[in-house]
Amino acid sequence: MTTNAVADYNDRAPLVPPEPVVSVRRLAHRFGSGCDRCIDLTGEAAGTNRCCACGSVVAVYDASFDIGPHEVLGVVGESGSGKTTLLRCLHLDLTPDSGSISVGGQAINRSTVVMVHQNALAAGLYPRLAAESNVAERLLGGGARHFGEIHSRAAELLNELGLQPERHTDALMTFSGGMQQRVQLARALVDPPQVLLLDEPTTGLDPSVQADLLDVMQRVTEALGSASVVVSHDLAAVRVLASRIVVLHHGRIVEEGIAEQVLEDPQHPYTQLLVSSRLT
Amino acid sequence: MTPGPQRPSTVAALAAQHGRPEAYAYLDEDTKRNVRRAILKALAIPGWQVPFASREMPVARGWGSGGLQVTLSLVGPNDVVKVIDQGDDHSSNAVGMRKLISESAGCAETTSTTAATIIQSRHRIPELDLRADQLLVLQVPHPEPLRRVVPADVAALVHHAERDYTPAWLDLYDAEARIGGPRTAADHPVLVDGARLMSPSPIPRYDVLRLNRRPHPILLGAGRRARLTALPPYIDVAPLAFEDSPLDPEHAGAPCWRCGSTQTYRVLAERRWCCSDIDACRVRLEATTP
Amino acid sequence: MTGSAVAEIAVAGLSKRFDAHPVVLDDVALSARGGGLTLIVGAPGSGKSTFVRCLTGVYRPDAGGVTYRLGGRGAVDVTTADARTVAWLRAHHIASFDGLLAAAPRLPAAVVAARVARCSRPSAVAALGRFHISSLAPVPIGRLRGTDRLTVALAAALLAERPFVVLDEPDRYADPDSVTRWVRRLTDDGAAVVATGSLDSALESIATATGELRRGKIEWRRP
Repeated sequence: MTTNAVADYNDRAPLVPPEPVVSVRRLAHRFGSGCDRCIDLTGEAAGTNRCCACGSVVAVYDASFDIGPHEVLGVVGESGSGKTTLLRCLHLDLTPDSGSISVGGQAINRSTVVMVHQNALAAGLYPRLAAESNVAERLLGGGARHFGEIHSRAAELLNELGLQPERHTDALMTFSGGMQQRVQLARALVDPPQVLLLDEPTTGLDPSVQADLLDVMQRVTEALGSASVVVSHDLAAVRVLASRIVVLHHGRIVEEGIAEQVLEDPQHPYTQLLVSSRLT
Repeated sequence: MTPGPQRPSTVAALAAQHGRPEAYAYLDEDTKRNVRRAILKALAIPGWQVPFASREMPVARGWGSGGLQVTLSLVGPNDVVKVIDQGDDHSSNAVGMRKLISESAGCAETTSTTAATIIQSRHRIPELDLRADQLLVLQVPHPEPLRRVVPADVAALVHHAERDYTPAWLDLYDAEARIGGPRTAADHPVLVDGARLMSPSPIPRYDVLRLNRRPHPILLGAGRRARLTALPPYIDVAPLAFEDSPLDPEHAGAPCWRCGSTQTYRVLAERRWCCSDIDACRVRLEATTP
Repeated sequence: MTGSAVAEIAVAGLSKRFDAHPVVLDDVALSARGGGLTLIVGAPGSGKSTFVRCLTGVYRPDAGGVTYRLGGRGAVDVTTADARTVAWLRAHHIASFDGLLAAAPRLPAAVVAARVARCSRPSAVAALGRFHISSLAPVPIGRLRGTDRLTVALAAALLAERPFVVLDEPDRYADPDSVTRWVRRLTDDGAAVVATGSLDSALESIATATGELRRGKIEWRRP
C-alpha cells in the first residue's frame, strides 16, 4: 500500500454489495391440494411439513434471499427440509405456488440456469455418449455447427477440469462419480450461466475425491462469476464453497448468516443441532 | 341377380355385376380423399410429418403399405407405373405391388424409368434424372428422424415444434468424435428448407446427396406409422452435417461388372460389384454398346 | 491523516455470553481510527477471541453494535446488517485473522493466501516469505500443521490492502518482530487496525491505544 492508501481507496469497491443477480421473494410451494390451515399447522414451530388436517406437504414457505455475482450461497438442512424443492424451483423443474424468482431483474428462464446434479447420469446427461459429447451438447444447443471448433472447445474444458485427453471419447457412464461431476462442471463452463446450482456435489464421493472436487468447484465458481447455490449435507464442503448459508427446517428459512457465523455461532436451536452433529 | 355370360376378371367387374360400386384403384374414395388432403398439407409444410388414416393393405405393415396408399390415391388410367425395390423391378414385393396398382387402376406398367409417370420405390432413388412431370413415391418404415435419440413420440414432437434438433446434432457429434463419421448407413436425416428435420427413408447416403432441388415432387408414405411427408419441387434438402465435415457417399470396391460405371451406387451381389439401379445400368450399357 | 477518507471501527455496548458461562463481554466499547493500532490485551481465556469474532461478524453479540465507517462513503453496523452486506464487507473491506480458515485442502498455501487477500500469487509467496515460510508456498494447505495454516491465514490477512484490519493474537502465530513491523506499515498506510494480544505482547510498542480485557470489561492503559 502507498501512503494515504485509504484516501486512494475511494476508487475501490463500494461499501455495500451491488444489486443481486438472483432475487427470491416469498417462495412457497405445497404438494397436495392444501387447506386454509396448512400454513399454521406446518413449519418449524409445528415440527413438520405435513399438514395434519389435509395431508399436504408444505415443502417450502416464505423463502426469500438474494445472491450477487461471484457469490455462493449455501443451503443446508435435513432431508425433507425443502432444499430439493427450492432447487427444483430455481431450476424451473417446478413452478412454485407463489412467490417470485427474478434473475437480473427479469423473471427467471431456463437458459440462464445450469444445475450440477448429485448424480450426473440421473440428470439429463447422456450416459452412453462420450464425455466430450456431453460437453458439446451445450455448444450444439447454442447453435455451433463446426465440428473442429466444438471439439477443441470441449477438449479444452475437459482438460481444464482434469480429464485425460485419451478418455474424452469414453462413455460417460464409464467414469467415476467425481469425474462425472467434473464433466458437469465443464458443461457449466461452456457458457457461464447467470445462476449455477450445485446439488450435493460432494455427497457420496470418496474423501480424497471430495477434496479435489472442492478445489475444482471453487475455481469454477470463481471463474464463472455466476450467482451460485450449493445444497449439501456436508457442512465442511459448504463452509469451503459458500460465503453465506441459509438453514432450512421444515420448509422455512430459520437462519441466515455468513458461513463462519452460522457454523461457529449458530443462533437457532435447529442450526445448533445441525452444527453440533458434525463429526470432529 | 343373374351372373353374366362369362366369369369377371377383375374385382371391379364382379362388383359391377352385382350392382355395387367398386373402388377405383383398390382404395375407397374416402381413403383417397384423406390421403390426398394429407399430401397437400405435407407439400405445404415440406418435411413435416402429417398424420393420415392408414388403411389395411394387402402388403404387411412395414413393407410399403404407406407408399402404396399414396400411389393408389394418385394413380389414373393414363398413368404408367414403375415399382422398384432397392433398384430392382423384379423382387417379389415390387412385382406384387406393381400388379395390384396396374390392375386395380387399369393403367400401364413399366420397368423403364423414363417411361414411367409414377415411380414407387423402396430404399433407392432412380439414378436416371427424373423430369418435372414424373412423381416419385418413397416407402418409409420409420418416419421419425429423432427416433434413435428421442425415444418418446410426444417429446420428439416438441422438438420438431420448437425446431430444437440438438439431440440429432448430438448424435452426429458423438459418432464423429468416436468413429470419425456418422453411424447412419442409410436414412441419414436431412434438413428441409433449412428448418425441418426429416427422415428421407432408408436410401443410401449416395441418394441423400441427390435430393436437393429436384424438379419433381417426392412423396414419402409411412403406412405402419400412418404419416406422410412431402418434398415439393425445387425445395432445399441438405443432409444433417457439420460445416467442416460434409457427408460422403458410399464407395464401392470396383466398377460395375455390367456397364463399367464408377459413378453409380453399386452393391455387392455374389461377390461382384454392380449397379443397384438395374434400369439405369441397362440404359448405360445400351448407350455404350454400339 | 490527509484525505477525506477516514477509516473507523466503532464499538459500542458490546455484550456477549455463551450458554451457562459467565458473561464474556460486558458493555465493551472502543473507537479505532485509521492510522493507528488499537491493542486489546488479556490473560488466556479473557475473551480476546470472542471480542475479535464479534468485530468480524462471526459471533453475534447479545447486545451492542460494531460499526465500520469509511470516510464520506457511509457506515455499516455488522450486528444489524443483512448477511450479504456482512459477507461483502468481509470479502472486500475487512482483513481479519480470527483463527478460522476454510479452504479446499488440496490448494497450495500461496494460492489460498492469494485468494483470501485477492492479490497475485507472487505477492502471496513474498508475504509468506516475511514470516519465513516461503518454503510452504506450494504445499497443499490441508497438509500443513495447524499452526502453519494459521500463519498462512495471518499472512493473507496482513497482505490484503484493506482499510479495516482485525487480528486475534497475531504475534502468537508468527515472529513478533515481523508482525510488529508489518502492522506498523499497515497503520502508516492509514488502515484502522484492532488487534488482541497476550499481556506482554510486543505490539504494545506501536499501539496508539492499549486496553486490558478483564472480566468482560476493557480497562484502558493508554488513551
